Amino acid sequence: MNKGKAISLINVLIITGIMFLLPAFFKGPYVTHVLILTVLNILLSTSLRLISLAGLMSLAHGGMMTLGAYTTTLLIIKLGLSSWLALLIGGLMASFLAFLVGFPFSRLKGIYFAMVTIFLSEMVALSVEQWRSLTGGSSGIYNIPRPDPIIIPGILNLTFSSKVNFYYLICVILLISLLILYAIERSRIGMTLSGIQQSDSLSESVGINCTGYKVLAFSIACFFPGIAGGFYAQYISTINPTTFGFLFTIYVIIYLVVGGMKSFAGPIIGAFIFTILPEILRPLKEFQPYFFAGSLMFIIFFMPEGLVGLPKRVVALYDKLIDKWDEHA
Amino acid sequence: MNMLKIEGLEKRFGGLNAVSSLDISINQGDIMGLIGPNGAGKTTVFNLVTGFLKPTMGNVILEGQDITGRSPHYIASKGIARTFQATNIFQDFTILENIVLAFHLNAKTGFFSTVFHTTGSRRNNKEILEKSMSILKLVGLEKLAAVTSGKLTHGHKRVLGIAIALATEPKLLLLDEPLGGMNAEEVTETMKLIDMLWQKGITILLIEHNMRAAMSLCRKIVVLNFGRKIAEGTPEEIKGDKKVIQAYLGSGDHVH
Amino acid sequence: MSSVAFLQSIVNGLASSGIYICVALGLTLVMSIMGIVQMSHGEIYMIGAYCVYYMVVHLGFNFFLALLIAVVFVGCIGIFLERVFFRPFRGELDRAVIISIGLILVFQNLILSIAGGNPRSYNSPIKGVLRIFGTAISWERLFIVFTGVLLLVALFIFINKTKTGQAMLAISQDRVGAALQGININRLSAIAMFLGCGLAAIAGALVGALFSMSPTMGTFALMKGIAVIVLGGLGSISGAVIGGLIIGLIDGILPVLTTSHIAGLISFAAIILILIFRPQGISGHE
Repeated sequence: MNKGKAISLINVLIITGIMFLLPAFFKGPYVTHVLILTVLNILLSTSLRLISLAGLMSLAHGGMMTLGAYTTTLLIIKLGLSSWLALLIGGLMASFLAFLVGFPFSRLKGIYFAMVTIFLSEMVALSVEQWRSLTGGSSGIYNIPRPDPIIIPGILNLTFSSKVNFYYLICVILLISLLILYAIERSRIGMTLSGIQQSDSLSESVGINCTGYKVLAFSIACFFPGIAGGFYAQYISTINPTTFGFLFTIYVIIYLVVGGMKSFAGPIIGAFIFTILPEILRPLKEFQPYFFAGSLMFIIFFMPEGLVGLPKRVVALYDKLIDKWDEHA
Repeated sequence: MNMLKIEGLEKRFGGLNAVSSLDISINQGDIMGLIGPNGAGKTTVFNLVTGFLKPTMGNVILEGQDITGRSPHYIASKGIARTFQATNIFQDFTILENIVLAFHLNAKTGFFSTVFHTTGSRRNNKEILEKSMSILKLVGLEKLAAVTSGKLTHGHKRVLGIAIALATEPKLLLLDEPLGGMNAEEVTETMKLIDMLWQKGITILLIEHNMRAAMSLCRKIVVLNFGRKIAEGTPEEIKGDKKVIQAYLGSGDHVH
Repeated sequence: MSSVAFLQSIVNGLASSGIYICVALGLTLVMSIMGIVQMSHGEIYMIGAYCVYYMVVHLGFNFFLALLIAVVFVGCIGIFLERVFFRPFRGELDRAVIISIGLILVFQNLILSIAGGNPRSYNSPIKGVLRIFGTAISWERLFIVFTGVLLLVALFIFINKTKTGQAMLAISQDRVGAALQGININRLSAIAMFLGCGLAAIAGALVGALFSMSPTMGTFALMKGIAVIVLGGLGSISGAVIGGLIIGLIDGILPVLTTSHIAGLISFAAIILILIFRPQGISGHE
């Protein structure tokens, strides 16, 4: 439960401060867009990690985003619901789907679980595509309205006509989500999930309902891509069944694995680097998939703990070199 | 008072009967040994009793309640704990964390209380910490409490397995070859531990290949061969039983 | 609905089944011998399609010759993948699966940059229709069905009548035990990848020739392969056949019976039900 140092409050405040100040230095619609995508990807990769804590690999995130996006959108457009309520329900809908399929899915061994989550994602996309009367089918939905303005008389009048406010919104969503995810991981629930990942049989023998906990982790974790989908729909204002497809989910996995699955900061680092870097290397965009795939392979082969392990490795390498130097001296 | 009754238990895998027509009765306070040549079905019996396998026929009754085919975590909550033939511990956790997690049945596990660290859950955590340390003292591992359990010696790992089972505060403890792979000193220490647990009132069912240990610890012995019970009685009766000797000689196992 | 349309839909269904079974068999072979879900199996299928396309359209090869060459070529790619990417992680399935996910990106983008993203098709080597029961059934579809049956028979003979096949059966049932008996896992993994990728290539080539192809066609194949395996049984060859038949027929017949295309959803519902009541699939044993 107390694995590694607890992330100190000061660090969190500093990083939060930086996050909110960034738009002052990085202006312009394109840059803001990249920032928004980065924060969104962090949300996705950290929530994916919750599932991996239980020892499961889920490839359902794309489908959950699609479900959240369409649920939120349809609630706003067809039922005139408040966009905030619709957003929340979008997330809950994704959780609900995860809960429904969770019990049969969780009984499968790890790799098969991954397989059926791929299948689940595809089924969500297919259902959306086929239910043309409701969703507009494969052509998607356009002109999705922006989020309702947040009005606190006298203090705040926040409309979402500019991208910057979307950035602040997703930052707030991320911070709340990270708080929840972190709290879960450091709690007894997090410890139980880790125990399940280490040994299913031993956990059962001490009274832990393994399937139940796996479903819990899966359901909670899928809430976040649901919300992310709803947010994205209102931000980009169009969605279609293939926006968050198989490739999209693969990218999220790469953020998590390359960043490092064993630490809370891993997916954050992974998402950050792999969203920012491709934008810096824009001219080489053609090679982006190879870069991603190559990084993934490199990490799996040589640094399985992920990029979070880089500092330790550099230090170890430095020590080794110093020792060799001493030998020759 | 009857603790565990196994009636007509059978487990079939494809065409093979791993266990057939098994009747065993254990009373509260017993310490019973389950022995037999390799492949006799002893671990299968454990798996059937603790819910890791579902029987094809028969019943398992704990203190009058039918627990046949229930899930392992349910059966654990009813008071049966077990260890595993192959060392099974939480490798990445420290010894203390292993026990703290194993106190799951004792813990406040509501979502809000654990995630938001309510006063109730903090008090509960403190209690569990204290209980965990006392179990570690009981089994002699308290000095290694902060060691990552994956790094322990084989003998310590097996003792940890027993400690984990104890954290469920069981009425009935099923030990699957607890002395497996231990050196002579570890064997003596662990035998003392098992005897002490029995003295404290825990009913024990023990699978052991170490015949001397089984005979000296247990008051009753049940012998299995090819999934069937071939003999039952006190250690003295079993030692002289022709069928038992046959079974071991026939299988090439050594009776020491 | 007329019986003619019904007959046509059955043939269509069987043709779909043929493709799905082919893909699923390849996936199952790799899965039961190497223990991993080779996620880039769909991309292998796609490469098979493009290889044959290139040979037929740009080099003027005869379709069937091109098919043969493609199968061998892709099979060798499979052997290479096994040696370089999967053998080092034999015990660690999670890492191997992640590697196979990386391969998806590599393959898709390779073909994308070489051949462009637009769907392609070319003249089918098999023309004409069979006139029977007052209706016309395209020979293309029948060819797929025949090929499927042929492959199944070949596979059946291989598994039951050859030493290698029997060894593979042994591994699929008990990997550890088989290794202890001295079965050469390296050799058999290579063979499994060769066969598995070869099967995928055949399926892809047929679909590419008789319908159309695109660099992303592999995803569809993977989904169907997974659906078939989960329904029919993890690690079971007969399961792959049964599952493939069921899903293929659903895909062929249902769109004709109901005007809304809910075939895919029915497959999904069937799979969920199977997972609830019989998690190992119809005839699986993992």
